[in-house]
Amino acid sequence: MSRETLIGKSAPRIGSEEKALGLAKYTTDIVLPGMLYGKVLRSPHAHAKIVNIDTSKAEHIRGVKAVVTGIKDTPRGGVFGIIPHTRDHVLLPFDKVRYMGEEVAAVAAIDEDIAEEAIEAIRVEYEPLPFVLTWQDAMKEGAPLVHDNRAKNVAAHYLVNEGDIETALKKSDLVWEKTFTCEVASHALPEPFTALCSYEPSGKYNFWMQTQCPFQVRQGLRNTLKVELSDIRLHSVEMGGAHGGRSDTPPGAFVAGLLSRKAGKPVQIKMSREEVEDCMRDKAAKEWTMRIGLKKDGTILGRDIKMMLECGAYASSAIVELWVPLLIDEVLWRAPSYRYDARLVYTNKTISSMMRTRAHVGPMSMDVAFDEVAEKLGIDPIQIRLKNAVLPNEVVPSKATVTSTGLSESIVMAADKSGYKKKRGKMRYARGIGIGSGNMQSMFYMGFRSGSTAFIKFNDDGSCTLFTGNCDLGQGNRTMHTQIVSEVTGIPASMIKVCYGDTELCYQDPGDYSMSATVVSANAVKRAAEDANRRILEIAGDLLDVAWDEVELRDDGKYWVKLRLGKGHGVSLGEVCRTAFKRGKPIHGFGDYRARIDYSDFSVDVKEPYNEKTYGMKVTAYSFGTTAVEVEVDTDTGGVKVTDIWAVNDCGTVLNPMLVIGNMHGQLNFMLGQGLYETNVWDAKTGRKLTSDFRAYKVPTANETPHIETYFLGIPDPAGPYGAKEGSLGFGCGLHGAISNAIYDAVGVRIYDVPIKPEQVLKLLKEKEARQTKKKK
Amino acid sequence: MYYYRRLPQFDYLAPKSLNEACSFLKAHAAETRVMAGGTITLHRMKERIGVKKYVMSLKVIPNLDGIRASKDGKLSIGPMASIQSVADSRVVQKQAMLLAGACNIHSTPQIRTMGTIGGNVACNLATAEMVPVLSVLGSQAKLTSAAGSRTVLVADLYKEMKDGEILTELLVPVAKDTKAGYEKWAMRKRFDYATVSAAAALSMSGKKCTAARIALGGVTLPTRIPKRAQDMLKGQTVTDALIEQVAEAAAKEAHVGADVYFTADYKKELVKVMVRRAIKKALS
Amino acid sequence: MKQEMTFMVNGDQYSVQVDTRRTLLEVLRETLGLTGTKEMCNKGDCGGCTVIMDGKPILSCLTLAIEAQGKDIVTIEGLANGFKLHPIQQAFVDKGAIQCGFCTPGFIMSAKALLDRNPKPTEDEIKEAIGNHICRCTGYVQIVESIQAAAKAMGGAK
Repeated sequence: MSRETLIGKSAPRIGSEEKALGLAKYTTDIVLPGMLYGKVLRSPHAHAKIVNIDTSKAEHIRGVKAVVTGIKDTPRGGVFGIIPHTRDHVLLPFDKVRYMGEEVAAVAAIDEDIAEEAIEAIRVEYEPLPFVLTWQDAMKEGAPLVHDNRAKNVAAHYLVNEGDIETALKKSDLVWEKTFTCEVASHALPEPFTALCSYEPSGKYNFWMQTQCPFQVRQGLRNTLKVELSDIRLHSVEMGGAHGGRSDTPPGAFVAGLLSRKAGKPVQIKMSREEVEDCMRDKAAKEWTMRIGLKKDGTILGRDIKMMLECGAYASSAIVELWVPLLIDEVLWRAPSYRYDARLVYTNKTISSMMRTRAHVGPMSMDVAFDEVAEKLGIDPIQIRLKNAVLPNEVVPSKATVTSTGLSESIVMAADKSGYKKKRGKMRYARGIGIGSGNMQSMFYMGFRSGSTAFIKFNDDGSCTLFTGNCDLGQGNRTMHTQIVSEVTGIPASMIKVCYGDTELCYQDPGDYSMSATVVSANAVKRAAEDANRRILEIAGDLLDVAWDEVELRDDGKYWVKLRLGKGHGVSLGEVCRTAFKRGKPIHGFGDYRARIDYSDFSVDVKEPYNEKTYGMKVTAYSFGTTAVEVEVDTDTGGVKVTDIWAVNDCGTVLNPMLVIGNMHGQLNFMLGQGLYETNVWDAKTGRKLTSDFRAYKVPTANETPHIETYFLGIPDPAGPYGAKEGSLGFGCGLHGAISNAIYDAVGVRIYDVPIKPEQVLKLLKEKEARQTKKKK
Repeated sequence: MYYYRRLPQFDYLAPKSLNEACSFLKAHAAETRVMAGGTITLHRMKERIGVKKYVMSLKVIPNLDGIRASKDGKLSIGPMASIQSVADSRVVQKQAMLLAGACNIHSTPQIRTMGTIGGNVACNLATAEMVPVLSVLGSQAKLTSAAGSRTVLVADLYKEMKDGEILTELLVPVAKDTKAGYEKWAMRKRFDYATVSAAAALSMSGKKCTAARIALGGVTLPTRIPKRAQDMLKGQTVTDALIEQVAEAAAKEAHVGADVYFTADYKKELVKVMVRRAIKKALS
Repeated sequence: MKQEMTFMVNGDQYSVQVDTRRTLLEVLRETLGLTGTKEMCNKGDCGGCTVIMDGKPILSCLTLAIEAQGKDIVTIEGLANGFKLHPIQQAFVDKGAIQCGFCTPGFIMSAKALLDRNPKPTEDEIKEAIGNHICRCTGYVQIVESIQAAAKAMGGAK
């Protein structure tokens, strides 16, 4: 009698009931005794020297318990940045401000009204400096420098050169070149940023805040507050969305720490919506120029890419956006020669960070290229994709191996389910269909933090607590981990509790950062469960007088000797645990997983281009997928409506289908928004962001959501736990290319920039009309 | 740079009668923000726009939210009637379907519940969606102050309404042979306030138009009524070609400003499309 | 300016002294400790603060607390029977419609307001009813499915 497997079973997320009841406590809901309310004074200038800060009036307002400024309170020498090369962020600056909204001073008071009054009473003298808002302006001769040590405002320059691109292009029958752009996008996270810090007299900072990577934040705060790792604790919290926007150490947390220590009380800093949109993180604007050389049968010989990326005022974690396109772009379509030249450029704008969509126009460039090239060469658009799609176990030029892929299968399935062949070129005018593919890495090199360690503690009745440094942002990681422990050990999920993301109680984990949770964190959990299970089986075997591998867990919840039916007795898990305690060896499980990554060294600190030889495995696994999209174009207004999406996901084994499907819908919503609705605008005269709330920044609502069908390939990955890999991002990254291709199918115009704006579509339609009228004459 | 989560300081008052409200405004109009539903007032005050010393709520003044057919062929709508109640009112659905329909597709359930028709009309925002609709129906607004009451056309409200006056009644003529249509455009069809909208009301005799009113939303206030475009329809047989000419004329007459998302040229193009669609809808 | 006010919340009567510039959202969360209603944008642009007042859905962040005087408010905490979930809450849990959960209370209250007046809504009517709400995690599909399932389970009951 074997247990029914949980793998592949849909089950609700753990913690859903509390959230539905309104009882889940998020950081914004926590109230500590004696808690003070913090408020941050922010720069009204996009770029300015801080000449003087006079806090005397604020300090004397009744009810104000602490006032901090960079000059007085920021420990010197503490700088934040996720990699040494671009460690450029002093979290409460003392010399100058680099974007409108940057932290300048902060207060803590007994209530928020007084805190607002105190902020207004702080007098700051600035010397405004000229500012730059686009990478083009930032790199011009004589442009103001955002950081004095970076010539031409280039934070980092990344070069990759595999094969021989010039020869490849010379040998090509067709060379196609286009420039694609995408704009700054916002995460627009539901829960406004909140940092709560309670400083203990012993010197320890207790933090509650939303974060995807508590261990990285702990490190960042330790470096900037200048204390030991054990002096910083990030508590586990329920979080209102992250999506890449909580990927690094926020200044607000640092400031809350300074205030709490100065005031001797807990301090909560809660940001307003506009404050979050201006002062937290965005996703960088990009310009991606690609030259691609192909043979006339459609085989790609080489790709030559130049990318410019705006990182805003500080590099923060945008550096990842710089090399992530390489990490996944090279591994989608085969290209024997591959050159990639990318620059990260400072501007005086909101800091860029990571974003679940990448939306880095890389996949879009290829999807549009395939469609245009196929048309030019007279090849079927599906066939050209299948010709160049990476195959399982393929080794790409930089010597990474594609350990598992269902890219080709996803293309075929998406085309099939959507009726692509029947519809393309055959629907009525203004209605079109398009296809696009994408991928995403599961875990890339994160230096010291590239591994996860999980620990399971057992109670004497067999119930247990899993400790994992991995966070649950709401996507369901907690549930996935519980499911795995339950699957390995047979212990019901109700008896497994999870303690997650607490830096004092849990071991290090990369965080929900680089999509590693499924492959790295879950593998560590699985190994911990297997370790615990082995110990359980050994003691059970001992009690039953057999070896551990002769023991099995049966449906009655007891351990029996295998194949010995009808005779003897079983032992309960509780008995096993109590026996273990009595023997002085309580049941526990310890598991560690380090991704095998050959990609070396990020501690390069050179003033020259940040150049990496990128050989070997760079990620643990890649997910793939294809989306087909049907659109309706309003030819009077240029408005584009996506009516249907068919999404095929190559995410390995699907551990919990209902959860992954929900995550897929979320990704499609993000992609849809950034593809058609969302745009960020800055005032060129003042440097002020003009799209800082949900009305101005047009996130799609339910009424913009198309009909969506989701499909899974289920091809297991060798490294993933039970064959699972990242499942909520990669499949959807081709949506922008699919939409662009669908618009071409509908009305015959090509768009290379996202978001696709109605005004632009209408303009192209009128130009096309004018050309056709001219032709007729 | 200040980011606020709280509302600013203000003195709140909720007069219990129209007289009380008017006499307060007589003394303090310049320092008072009159608040109906609150969706616009509080939204702006959180952004520290239009902050005044006093906020005067009209919510407890009796008899300002009724909807009834009055005797002289006009529908009487209280300014404090919620947009949802106007949409749901059988009387409005029967006698001014254009208005009920426009209210029904305005924004979201919460905004329709909280927002009042008077607030929408009196706020003088280019995006106020009820103004074009009420204008083409020939609606009037009763304005009451300490000095008494007077009636003006809703279409003229933006220039007529003075500090100290309260909108106390909307009068919508019930015209039996009027064919009316309303079209609006926004990026997010339901959530966003209309970028551009157009309402058209035509009195027809067979295929001939005897009188026409057109009103635009999302344009600079003085150009809301494209008079020349309106006149082009009077006495004419309405054909597709004429509708196109009228739409182009309306777009030409309208003055639109560029905004964060769209150029003025594009918005003018939208005006043309909305007018064309509104007229066609009216006649369908 | 402080004023006394009395109102009903989730069937309980409260008499509190409020500053007239406090919003209903602030009083619910900070004075009554009912933190289930969320502050997401604080300006009426996201639906996260939706509660039901006198049977209708409103945005509590754009409502002055003092103007809830004498009103009957239902928040997310008022739907369940102890820990027994209301059918709408149960449907959201069962259909996977809750990811980060921050937008969930607002959606559930709008769903309740919808089903109270229209027990058999079409898919379009459901989408219209939740049109003020922003969700970043779910893409809305499972939320709509939850409301459809709840409508079925409730069969016209409240």
